[in-house]
Amino acid sequence: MAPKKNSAKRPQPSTPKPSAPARIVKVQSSDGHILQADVRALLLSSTLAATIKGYDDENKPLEKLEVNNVVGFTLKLVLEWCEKHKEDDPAIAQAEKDKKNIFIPSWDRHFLTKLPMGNLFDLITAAYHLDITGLINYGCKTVANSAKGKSTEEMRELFGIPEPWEQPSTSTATWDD
Amino acid sequence: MEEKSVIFSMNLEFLIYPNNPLTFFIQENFPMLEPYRKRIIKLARLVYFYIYSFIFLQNQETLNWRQVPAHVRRMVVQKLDKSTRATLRQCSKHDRDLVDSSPTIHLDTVEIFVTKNYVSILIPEIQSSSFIQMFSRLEPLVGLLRRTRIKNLKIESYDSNHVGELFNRISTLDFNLTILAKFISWNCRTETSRELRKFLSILDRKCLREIHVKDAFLMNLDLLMETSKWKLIKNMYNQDDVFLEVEKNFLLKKVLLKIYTLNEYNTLELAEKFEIGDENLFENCENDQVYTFQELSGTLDRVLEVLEFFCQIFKNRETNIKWLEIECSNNKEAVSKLNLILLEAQNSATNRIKIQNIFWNQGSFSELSCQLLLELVLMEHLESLNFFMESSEKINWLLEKTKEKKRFLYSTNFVDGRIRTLETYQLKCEELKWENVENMIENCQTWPINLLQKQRFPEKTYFQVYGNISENIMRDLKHLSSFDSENGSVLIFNTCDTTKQLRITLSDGETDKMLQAILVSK
Repeated sequence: MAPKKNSAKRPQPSTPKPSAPARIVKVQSSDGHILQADVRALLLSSTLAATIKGYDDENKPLEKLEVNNVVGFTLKLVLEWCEKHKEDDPAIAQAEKDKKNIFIPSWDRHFLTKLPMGNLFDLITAAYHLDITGLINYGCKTVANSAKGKSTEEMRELFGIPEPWEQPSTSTATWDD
Repeated sequence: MEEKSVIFSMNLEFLIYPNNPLTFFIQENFPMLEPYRKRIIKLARLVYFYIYSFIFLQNQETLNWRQVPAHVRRMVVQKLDKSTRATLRQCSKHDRDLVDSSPTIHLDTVEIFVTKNYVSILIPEIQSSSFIQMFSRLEPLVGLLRRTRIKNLKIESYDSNHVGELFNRISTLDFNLTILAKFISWNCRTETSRELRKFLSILDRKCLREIHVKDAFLMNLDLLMETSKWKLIKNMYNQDDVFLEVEKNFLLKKVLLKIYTLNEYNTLELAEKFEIGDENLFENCENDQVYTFQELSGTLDRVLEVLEFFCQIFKNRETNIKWLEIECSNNKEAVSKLNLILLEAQNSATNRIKIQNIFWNQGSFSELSCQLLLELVLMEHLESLNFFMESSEKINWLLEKTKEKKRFLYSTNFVDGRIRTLETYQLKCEELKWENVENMIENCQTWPINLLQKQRFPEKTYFQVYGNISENIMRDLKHLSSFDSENGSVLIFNTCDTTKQLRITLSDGETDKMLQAILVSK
C-alpha cells in the first residue's frame, strides 16, 4: 500500500512514556477552579511555558499557576487537549499554522465537534490567550468546517451574528480625512 | 512495577478531573477493574464532560463570533474556502472587513485603484469591491497583501504621487510586508520610477514572474535595471523617454530610441531617435516590447553606445528593419554624430539594408546624412519615405535622388510649419517640382486656396478645411459627393470616394472667400 500523502506531517498519536517522571502542577482558572496538569502538557502553551521557565530559573517551587483569562470549564478542555497532545512535536503545529487544509486526527475531531459553537469559540480564544498553536489550528479548522456550505442565514445563526438591521452602523469614515 | 506505572498513567488521565471519586475507587480496586480500564476512562470522561457542561453552561455565557478576538477570527477565515468566505463576507459589515483583511491563500486577480483620498480594491473572484480611506483605514489592504498569493495584481492610478503615498503608509503599518504576486501590471502613468522601485522592493522575488509597466515618467530606469526584477519586466510603455543601456536590450523586438540633448538655451532638445521594429530580429520574444531612451545630460557620449548598437544591427545581413525613425535637431553636434553613426553603419554593413519605412524627423536635414542613409537602404524594399523639412531645394534634391525609385514609394510626407505668408507659399509652390511627386499620396501641407487654384493637383483630392465657414459655403460644400464631418469650426470633406487622395489643409482668415473661389472653379 502506498503511503498516504503528507503522512509525515501528520501528528503521530501520542504514546505515554511512563518512564519519564511526571511533574504535576495546579492550575487555577479565572473563576477559582483548581485543576491539575502535567507540566509537559502545559509546555504546549507558550505563555505558561514562559511562566514555568521563570519559576525554574529562580528555583522557586511552582505551586499554582493562575490563568486569569480562562474560565474553569474551558481551561479543563484546554488541559484535556494538552494532556492528549503533550508528546506531539511542536514543529508540526507551527508548520500547519498557515495551511488552509489541515488534517484533524480522529481524537481531536471527536473532541472538538461535540462542543457547541460558543464553547468552541471559548476554547479557541483560550488557546489564543495561552498561545497553543496546535489547538488554535484544529479549533479554527473545526469552525471553518462547520461553516462550510452554509448559507448566509445559516451562518448568522451558527455564529450568532445579528441580522443586518440589528447591526449598529460601523461607518467611521469621514470626508474630512 | 508495571502495575504502578499503569496506575500512574490512569491517574494522569483523571488529573484533569480533580477530586474525582472514581479515581480513588479505581485505585483501590485496580486488579479487578484492569480489563475494563479503557471503558471506565471513557465513561468517566463522558460523565464528567456532561456534568461540567451542565453546571457551567447554565451559569456561564459563552462567546459569540463577534466577541472572539479579531486575530482568531482571521485565522478561522484563513481556513475557509472561497465560497464560504464570500458567504461570511455578506453576513455583516464587520465580517466584510474581516474577510477583506484576512489573508487568503490564493486569489486570481486583485485590482487596486488609487485616487487622492481612496483606495479601491476589486477582487472579482469573491465579488468584492471596497473603498478604503487612504488616511485611516489601510489595515484591511495590508492584511490582504500580507499573506495572499495573488496571480494578477493590477495597480492603477491616474494622479501623481498617490501610489507613492500609499506605499509609504503601507510600509509604516507593516515593515516586513512582502507581496506574493505572480504577474504585476503597473498602470500608474504619472508615477516616477521611485515609486515603482519602492513597490518592486516589497514584492516576493521567488513568486514573481512578470511585470508589465505602463508609465509616463520612468526617469531612473538605470537604477531600476540594477535590481534583479528588471529581467522580469516584459512590457514597458511610456510616453516620456528614458535612457537605457543599449547592450542590455538586445532581446527586444522593437526599440524606439530617442536621444535628447541640451541646446544653447538650456532647454531639452531631441537629438536623435531611432526605432527598430523587426519581427525576425529577436526571435525569442513573445510580446512586443517598446523601449525608449533619453539622454538627459548635455553631452552626447551615449551616442557612441547607440552607434555600436546600430552597427550591430546593420552587420546582420538578414536584418529587415520595418520602421526607422531618425529625429535630429539643428544642433551641429547632433548632426555630425548622426553622420558618424550612418557612416559607421555603412562601413560595417556589407550589403544594403532592407528598410521598409523611413521617418526622417530632422529639423533641417543635412544632405550628407540623407545621402548616407539612402545609400544604406535597399530601395526596392522601401515602402514609405516620410520627411519633415523646410526648404524646397532640399525637397527637390530628395525628389531627384529618389526619382528613379519613386515607384517604390508608397507614401511620402512633407510637413512644413514655418511658412506663414502667401508670398513664401507662392514661391515654394513654384519651386517645387510637382511632376516628381506623382506617386505621393499624402501631403500634409498648409496652403491658401488661391494657391491651390494655380496648382496642378492629382485627380483625386481630399480637403480638410479649418476656419469659420458661412452657411452659404456650407450648403455648397454639402453638395459635394462625399461630405465627411463637421466638428465645430473644423470641416473635413472629400471630393472623391477613393483612397488615393491628396489631403490639403486650408488655413487662413479668408477661408470663405477662398473656398468660394475653389468651388466656383470646379
